[in-house]
Amino acid sequence: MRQTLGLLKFVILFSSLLALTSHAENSHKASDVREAQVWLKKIQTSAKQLDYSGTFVYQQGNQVRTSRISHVRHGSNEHEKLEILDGQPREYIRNNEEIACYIPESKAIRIEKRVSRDTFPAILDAQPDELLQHYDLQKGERGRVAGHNCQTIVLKPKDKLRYGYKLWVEQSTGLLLKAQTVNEKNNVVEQIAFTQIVIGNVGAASVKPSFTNTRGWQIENAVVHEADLSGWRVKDMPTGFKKTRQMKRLVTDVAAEGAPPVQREVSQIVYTDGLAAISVFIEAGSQSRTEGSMQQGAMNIVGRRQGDHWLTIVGEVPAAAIKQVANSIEFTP
Amino acid sequence: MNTMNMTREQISAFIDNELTDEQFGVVLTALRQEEMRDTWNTYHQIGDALRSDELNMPLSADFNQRMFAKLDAEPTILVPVAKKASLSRAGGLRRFAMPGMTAAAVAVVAFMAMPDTSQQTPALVAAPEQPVVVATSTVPETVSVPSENGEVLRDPRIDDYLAAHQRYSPSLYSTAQYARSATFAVNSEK
Repeated sequence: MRQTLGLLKFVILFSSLLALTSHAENSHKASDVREAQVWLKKIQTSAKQLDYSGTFVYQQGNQVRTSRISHVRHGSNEHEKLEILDGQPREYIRNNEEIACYIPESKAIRIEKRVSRDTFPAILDAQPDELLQHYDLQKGERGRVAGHNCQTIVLKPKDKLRYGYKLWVEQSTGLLLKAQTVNEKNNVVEQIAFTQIVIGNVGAASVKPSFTNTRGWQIENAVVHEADLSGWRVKDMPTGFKKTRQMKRLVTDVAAEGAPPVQREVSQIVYTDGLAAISVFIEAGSQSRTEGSMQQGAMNIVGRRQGDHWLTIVGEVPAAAIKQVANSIEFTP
Repeated sequence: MNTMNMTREQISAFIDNELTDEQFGVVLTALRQEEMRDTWNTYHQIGDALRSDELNMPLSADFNQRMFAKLDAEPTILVPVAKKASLSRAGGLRRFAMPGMTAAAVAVVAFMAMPDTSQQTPALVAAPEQPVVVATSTVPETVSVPSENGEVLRDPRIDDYLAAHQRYSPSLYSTAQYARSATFAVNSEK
């Protein structure tokens, strides 16, 4: 009896000790999460408000691309220039929400309204507290990117239907300098990082187009209409992905030489959890297409036939999530 | 046994267009054996299964005969020598990847040309590096399909979808979308 009592005492003591330490761990974690949240908010604002100019590399699977970005804030206006440094030269000049793409080899300027509000190094459409429902937020170690000291932030997915992310945030300004997307095995599937960056003191000239004489260039307007696509439904959409957009656009297929270009109408529904998005593209006719799936970096794509429609499901989510979506699309006319 | 495994490896390399000129003769001789032809078919079926459940079916018994008859009836597509060189250079295709420009590719092109001979439609394909880990493969392949225009990287329409998707995605990489489409423009431009 005495022995049992002793044992009981020991168990009680031990478990309360356990509870105590785990409690300490939790509160420590909670402050970390709060701090990480503050960093995320900082990323959002600093990318829009700071002047910066730098070169970044983007790696997707086994491909690497280099680009240069310059961003200038002038009063309440944002000006940005993005130059593609590999392959065919391209230049994207953004003034607030309008983007002009210069395509020198075809002497064309393509103009479109920017619809996604946040691009690298600005990210995160969603509020950080909404993200917490689907990702565990952690403050990581300190690091260095492109000569700047950084704080890392880790977003771990709470299910297997989204990827994880690791972000490197510049310590004094809050600018995002590097980001990695990791799969469930912790392998990097996609990453983007500045290799050189100057923060502050960016001249207005650096956001002006390099092509000054564009007389005779063709100007194209990209046309997208909002549309009602409520007949289409995804029954098993991964939790947290909300429908944010539905629209229709005309896509021009480059036909064989000599033949007139072919246009077709494509509908698109976009769902997002704040960090990743899934698009469902719907179009008529499927005769000459082969069903299948592919992966490119973090991006998974499934093409399939459904009745008289051809569906293409695209998203920077694991293959399982894309499959789940592709297999649960319903249409009620 | 060892020799057989080596030959199998070479068949796989043949499918992936990774053989040197000297090895071609050996593999072609090996393929005269029924067993090796079965290996050849199995490897292709594995590749097909990885790309799409829909494609995962054994070939009918007289598939080869009918295929060759169809090939004989096809007009010959001539690829200029310069293009050939660039094709084989770009053809860093891995095991079970979409066959490059080998005999198998001729079959693929012919197959896809059948529904509509006026329009080439390269298939939407997946080509993960490891056969078992389809969903987690981190190294996506670009797939070369020879066509009248030279080299086409996968279905060029895919890039339209990717660009359209990323435009509306809050993804970290939406700025980089531009980088991607520009690069593909280089490859498909001829």
